[in-house]
This record gives sequence, structure tokens and C-alpha cells, in this order.
Amino acid sequence: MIRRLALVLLLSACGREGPAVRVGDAYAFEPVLGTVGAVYLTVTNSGSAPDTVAGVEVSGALVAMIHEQVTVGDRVEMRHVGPLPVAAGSTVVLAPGGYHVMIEGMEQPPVAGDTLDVTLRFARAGSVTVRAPVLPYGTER
Amino acid sequence: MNTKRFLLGLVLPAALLLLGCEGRRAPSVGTPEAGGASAAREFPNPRPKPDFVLTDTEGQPFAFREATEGKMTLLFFGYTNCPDICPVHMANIAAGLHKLPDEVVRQVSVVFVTVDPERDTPEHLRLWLDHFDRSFIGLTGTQAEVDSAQVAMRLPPAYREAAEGDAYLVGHSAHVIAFTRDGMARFALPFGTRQSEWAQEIPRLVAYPDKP
Repeated sequence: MIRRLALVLLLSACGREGPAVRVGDAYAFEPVLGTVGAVYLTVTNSGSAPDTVAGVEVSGALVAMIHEQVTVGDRVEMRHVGPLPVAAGSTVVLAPGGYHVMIEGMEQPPVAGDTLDVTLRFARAGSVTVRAPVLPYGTER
Repeated sequence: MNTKRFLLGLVLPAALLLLGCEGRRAPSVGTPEAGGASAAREFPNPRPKPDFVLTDTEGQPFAFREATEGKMTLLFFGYTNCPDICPVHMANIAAGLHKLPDEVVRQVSVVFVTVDPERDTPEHLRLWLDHFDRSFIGLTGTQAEVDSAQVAMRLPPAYREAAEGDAYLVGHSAHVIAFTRDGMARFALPFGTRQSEWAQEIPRLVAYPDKP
């Protein structure tokens, strides 16, 4: 009995049964004319099951969509990414030139020094909210 | 039942399992900000500066070849509603220039041609460019005019793609084209070129073919 209890505790503690997602290193670039900006972050899934970012919301933004810059020949295309898979044991990086969350239709355009709440809705792990400091374009990391 | 055995039974497998959790690491996906290969890439066949005429942010005709003659010219095709590549490129070029002495900066023209003339009016373009540097030149025209400017650079014209609602996305070249002062397109600077690299590359491009 105790052994069984211990096993259950262990399984839940380790999260082996499902995804274990962590969202970190979030930051945003201040929309240049207050209209369109970008949010970047890192999603790590240290669990044993895959998960998917099903949607994203950014405080004060009417639209928040994950986009991907894809280079085709000499041209870069910005594609709307639907559900973004995060494989078990993998990290997905949203960074300039790759994936970004485009934000548009800001109630009040954020300026450098503000903080945005960014909520990722995972298909399995539920919602995770992180805070993203707003930086001017050109801040190198 | 002794507690020690129970705890040992709990702790030991827990430690092993936690190690197991951390043990497996797949490689990262996504495209982190480019590092490494981001210096100027030389064109195998340099091309002369095209002589397209577009409209500047004062609403005046701007003959590209004539108006930038003798300047090291950085040309980029983009649009102001772009959240990622365009503002990051412009901010990095501006920051690179701001690190350089006036005598170098005077010999440089930065020209941003919108590929989205419908939304990018001259006034809007001016406001957007002023955010980075007031000396940056903004050009617009009819869709056919900006398309042919890209074709003149042998770039595929940017295109529009429907997005949600009335919105649309624009595909375009991510490279900045560098014309040396002799009027030849000789280098492309890819996205990911950092501010310190711009500060290093710009004097070299100005001095070409000499060493700065």
C-alpha cells in the first residue's frame, strides 16, 4: 500500500505522465509607431509527452499571433503559425529572425520600460502567463 | 513498518526519476538571433546601381542612381507594419552608424524602399524612419514602381498574402544591399548583422576597394 502510494507521489512529482512546460526569457520590442510590435520568449518542455501552443494572448493587444520568418530563395516570408508543437524534451526559441509573437491593435501602445503579460495556452498543460519587459528595437541580447 | 525504509523507498527512486527527467535533452528548434556568419557577403558578379525613380518622403521624385552618387549606399526593401526584421535591421544600422565618426557617416546613404505603398504613405514612412535616424531616406511609389525597383535589383518583387480579417502579410528580401562608392552593388548584409558588425563593416564599405 505504502509502496503504491510512494509510486503515485513520485509519478506526479516528476511529471513523467505528461508535458512539463516552462516559459521564460520573455521580452517585447516597443511598437515603432505604436501600431505593431513583437514578443519573444523561450518554451521548454522537460516532460515526457509533447505539447502544443494552441494560442497566445498579450495584455492590451487586440491581436497576438505567432509568426515565423521563412527564407525562400532570396526572400523572407512571414507565415502565420497555427498550433506550435513543443516536443517532449525540447526547447522552442522565439527570437528575432525566427518565430515571434506579432502584436497589433494595442489599447495603449506600450513603451520601453512597460511590462506586458503574455499568456500561452497549451493544449495539454493549460495556460502559462509570464511578464515581458518592453525594450526599444535595437536592444541586443 | 519502519519510517526509514519508507523514506528511503521514496527518496531514492525520486532522485533517480528526477535525474531521468533531466537526462533527455533534444536539440533546440526555432531560429535564435543569428550569430556567427553575419558579416557582408560579396556578390560574385557585382551589378551597377539601378536608375529607378521613386518618390521620397517629401513627395519629390528621387532618382536613385543620381541622388546617391558617390555615397556608399545601403538599400533595403521592407514595410513599416513589419514587426520583426525591418525595424531590427533599421535599428541596428542606425546604432552602427551612431558609433562612427561624422566623416564616415557623411559618405553613407541609407535608403528604405517600401514594398507596401498602399499603407506606407510618405508621411508615415518619414515618421517611422525618424524613429531610427532622420537621415534615412524613405522611398515609395505605385505598386508597379516599387515592384520594378526590386526587379531592377534582381530581387523577386515582394508580395501580399491575406491574413486574418483585412490584414495582410508581406514577403520581402531580408538582405540589405550595399553599393560601394563606385556605384556597384557588391555586398549583401543578412538579417542578424549586429550593431558592432555594422560599425565595423560600414567604414570598410565606404573605403572599398581600399582598406579603411
